[in-house]
Amino acid sequence: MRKKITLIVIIVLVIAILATSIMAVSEARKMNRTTTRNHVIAITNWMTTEFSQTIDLSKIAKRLVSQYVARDIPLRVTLIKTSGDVIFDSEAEDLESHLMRPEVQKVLKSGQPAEEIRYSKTLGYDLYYYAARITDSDLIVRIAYPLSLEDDTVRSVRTHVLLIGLISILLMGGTLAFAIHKITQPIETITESFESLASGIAATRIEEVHQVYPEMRRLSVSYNRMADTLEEQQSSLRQKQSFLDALVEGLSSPIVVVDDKADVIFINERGMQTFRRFIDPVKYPYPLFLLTHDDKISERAIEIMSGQTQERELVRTLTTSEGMRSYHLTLSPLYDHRVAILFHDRTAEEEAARLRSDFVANVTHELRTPLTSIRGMIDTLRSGRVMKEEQTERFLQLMDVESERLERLVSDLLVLSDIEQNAVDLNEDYFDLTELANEVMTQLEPYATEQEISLKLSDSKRLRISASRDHVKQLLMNLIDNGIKYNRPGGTVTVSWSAFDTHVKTFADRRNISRLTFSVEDNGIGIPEADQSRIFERFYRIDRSRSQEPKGTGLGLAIVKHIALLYNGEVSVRSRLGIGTTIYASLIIPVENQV
Amino acid sequence: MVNRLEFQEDLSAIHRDMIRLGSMAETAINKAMQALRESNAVLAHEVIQGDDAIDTLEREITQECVRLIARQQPRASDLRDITANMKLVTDLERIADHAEEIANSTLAIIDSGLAIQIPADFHMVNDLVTRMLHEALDAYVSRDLALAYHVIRTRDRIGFVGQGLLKLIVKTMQEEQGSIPALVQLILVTNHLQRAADHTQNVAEWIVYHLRGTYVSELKDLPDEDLSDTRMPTVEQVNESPSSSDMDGEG
Repeated sequence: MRKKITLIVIIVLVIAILATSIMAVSEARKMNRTTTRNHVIAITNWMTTEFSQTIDLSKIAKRLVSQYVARDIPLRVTLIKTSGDVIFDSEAEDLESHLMRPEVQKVLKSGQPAEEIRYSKTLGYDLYYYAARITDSDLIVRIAYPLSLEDDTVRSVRTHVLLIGLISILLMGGTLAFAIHKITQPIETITESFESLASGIAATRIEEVHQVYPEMRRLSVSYNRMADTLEEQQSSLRQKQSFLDALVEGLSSPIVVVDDKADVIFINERGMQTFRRFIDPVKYPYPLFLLTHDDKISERAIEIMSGQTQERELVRTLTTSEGMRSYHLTLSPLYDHRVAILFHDRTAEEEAARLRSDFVANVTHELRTPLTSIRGMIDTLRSGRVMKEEQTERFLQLMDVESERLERLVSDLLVLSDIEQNAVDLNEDYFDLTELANEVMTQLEPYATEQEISLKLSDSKRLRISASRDHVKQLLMNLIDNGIKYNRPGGTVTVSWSAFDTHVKTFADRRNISRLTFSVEDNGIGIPEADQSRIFERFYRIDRSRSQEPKGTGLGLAIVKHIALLYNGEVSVRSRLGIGTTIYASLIIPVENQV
Repeated sequence: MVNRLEFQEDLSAIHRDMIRLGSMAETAINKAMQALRESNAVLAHEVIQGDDAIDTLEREITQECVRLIARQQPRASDLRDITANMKLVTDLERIADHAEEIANSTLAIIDSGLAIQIPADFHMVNDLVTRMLHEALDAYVSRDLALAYHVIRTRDRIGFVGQGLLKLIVKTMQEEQGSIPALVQLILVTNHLQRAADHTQNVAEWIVYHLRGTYVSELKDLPDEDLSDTRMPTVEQVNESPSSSDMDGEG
């Protein structure tokens, strides 16, 4: 822009100066000619008047010419007769007849003086001719005045004009360049700032006070304001973006975004792991089908995009790197024909729901069995059939057994739900474990004797422990009861425990936290290997078909497990068929050695 | 004059269909093997019924390839792309056929009423084949030459494990003669798995052909495996612990 302006201005300037110089020169020339003409006319008039007084005109002419020649003006005077004969010429002699010269012709014709400008070949420049007839004679005076003389003046005028023009062009050019620079400098600064802003480099600010022109200052102010706004927006966008990135990548559920062809265009890290496809969808877009192997999802996504359906939820079972999983899918339409699909893994929820309904079914079943037999016996007794005394007695005895079982079942269920709902009280009083064990064994002694089982407490350390006494009692009770129930006549049940420091500092008062492990060993029938992992499940009984008359409620070991879990402990079993079973239950609780 | 835009669109449509076909074949193999593991007759029937759709898609892709060659007369790498796809489509369809056969064998085992213990090595072959197919598809989608070579190399491993597996099944036959009818089916399944692996190897070789313009057999030796490629840690774990059979929990 700067160059263009300079060029245009200089061109205009040059044209103006040229025009000025041409005009000046032509004016000068015109003026010069007028002067020359007046001068020549004056000379001619003087000569014509001289003629009347003096006779020899040629002499006068000679003197005149010599005067002019002395002043370096090659004036030429010619005296011509009306017949055309040259009687005097200041430069040459014996010239041919001048009758046919245009100025002479004009004078002869009109009788008035005539003038003519002609180029002289011999001299090489323009000559001004003036001819006039001397009154009352047959003589014509012709004067030739060189016009080259006047050109000198013109030339000097031209030179001056051109010189002044050149100087003014230089001056103007310089001034112009400076002015243009002054104008374009701020524009350039602003342009540079814009460029850096556009290329994403941290935007610079223009110093407003340095701007001379108010227009530029205004532009700078608005530029600065725009840069501020942009930077603010950018940083807030970046913040939002990083927030979203962290959210999407940190999410434990797969997220996939598909386009209108159901091609994957985004997938988070979790999604790649779940479907074991580590392909960058930005570089290599692929159909959603490749991930899910499920047409329903792709179809639904396209339906949502085309507005055919509003149904955004979908439940599908998909093959993943973790096997078959059940997913609850949420399809959310995004702008520009895209759909985001969130895969929520609900396998665990379904499993929990299944377990819950299984439990309810089991409880119902367990409750109904004794009730059915009691109802049956009541019906038989009511039917009024004659029965023997001992038969009736046996019925009543059975009813007693069944109702006892019902009672046990209900109380076990209550215990179980109580454990599940209760949290551990960390500040239970310490109590003597050996004393508790003896108490439990005394309670179970009659039942053991009945089953011909002997109970034994091995030489374990005397300990005082801090836990719910009821919980520990329930745990020992169930373990020993279990040992008696699944033993052979003549067998023994041995109870022992041991405690180890755990160095767990979960309790604020840093009491001596130990892992207290109970082991209850019997030498009974043993548990098949396949069943060992399941004996702690609720209502799980080994070999259902043969235990038509179940001995327990099926909840005993489940209660043991739940008590152990309540105290951050665990349960395990070691058993060999025909040799015996040892069940371990550990609790992590504060333990003190008995002094 | 080839209309580039139209041509590219048609070609990418073929690619999409190919990926779809590959996914279907993968599903078929996975489902068939799951049916075998779980003695699930319903799933086996599903596989057999699903094969028709795969056959149809195979025919469609082939016809589309022929149409594209006839109408656009592609040259150089474009032609190679289409040619590779025409070969690939057959291999993928054959893999699905083997899945169908495996489903048939599964039904035969279920019908025989014989309970057979499936050896751990069998699960290993199963896992290697499904992984191989999975990776072959990855290589196709992401035009990953290194992964294609990796797939080709996996085939040898399957052959090795397969041999041991056959011996094991024969030994079991001698011990439990009553289970022979079921064990014969298991041998057939092993064979189908190996054939499926062969076709998967072909798939990988056609991918190499497409990307490089050379047949794998022309390469004297496969290029060294890039060990820095950590995208498939699970496969490396398989190599380290060949006796492990339960790999579903990994990843």
